[in-house]
Amino acid sequence: MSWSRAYARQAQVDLNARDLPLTDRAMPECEHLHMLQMAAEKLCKAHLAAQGQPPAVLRTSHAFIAGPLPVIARQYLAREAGRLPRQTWVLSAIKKLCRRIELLHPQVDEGGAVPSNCEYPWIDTDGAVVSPADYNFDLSLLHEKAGGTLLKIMRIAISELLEET
Amino acid sequence: MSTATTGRSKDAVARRLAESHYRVDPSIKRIFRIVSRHREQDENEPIKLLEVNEETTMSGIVPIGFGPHEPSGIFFRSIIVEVRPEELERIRHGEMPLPKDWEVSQEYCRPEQT
Repeated sequence: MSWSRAYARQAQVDLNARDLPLTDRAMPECEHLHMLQMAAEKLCKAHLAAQGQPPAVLRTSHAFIAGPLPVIARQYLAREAGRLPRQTWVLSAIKKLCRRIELLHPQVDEGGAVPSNCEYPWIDTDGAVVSPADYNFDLSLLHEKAGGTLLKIMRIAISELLEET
Repeated sequence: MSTATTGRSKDAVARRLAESHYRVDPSIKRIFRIVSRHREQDENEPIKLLEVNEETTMSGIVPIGFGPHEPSGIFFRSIIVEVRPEELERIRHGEMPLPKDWEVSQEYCRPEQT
């Protein structure tokens, strides 16, 4: 199995796992956002691995969403005229979403300005310790502009990577 | 339709791909073809585009690969390298070299709105 296919396979599993907590109202928002962040990261890494990015580099960095994912989205928006919307605001909204998804990782925090993340507690501006489980991330792809389109693109891209590699 | 929009040649597909990217992303300022000095005539060598975008992150040369997609007229593998305008200057001055034997080639203009 190639590195690209292996990353795509794991992205597929993460994205499927994201959907499971959505049916459980007791499951905190951080859990499915965590899965979304991991799926997005691995999808990007699958594309980068296909171009020879060394596995060691891919394993050590998590800031691989805000740059590559809009490029991936643009490729699909440009070619899927019938299946995806092509209005220019869609890509603009996707770019903003990608940055917000990248910031869900604990190691990506805008130089300390955005400590909130899906995995580990942090100290908020009032000095209180916050658990991700109790935090309102205010990020629902169902309600965000172009959220559904981004999910659709991720699924198409993953499935194509699994077919071709 | 012109040959450029219907053709199956690598040149025609590269132009079509560049124009379609301009159409969906107004923040793209310029698009250049990247060519391999030694392998560009090889059908298996991907189409490579260097896209200059003010809205992208400053992350250097990060090639992102895609498979062909015949239904939309993309008959070759493609690679997109997206950089910020200041990174394009660094590429031009040799401070940020492209990988392999790649070099920046022709520029594609933004198509007129239809």
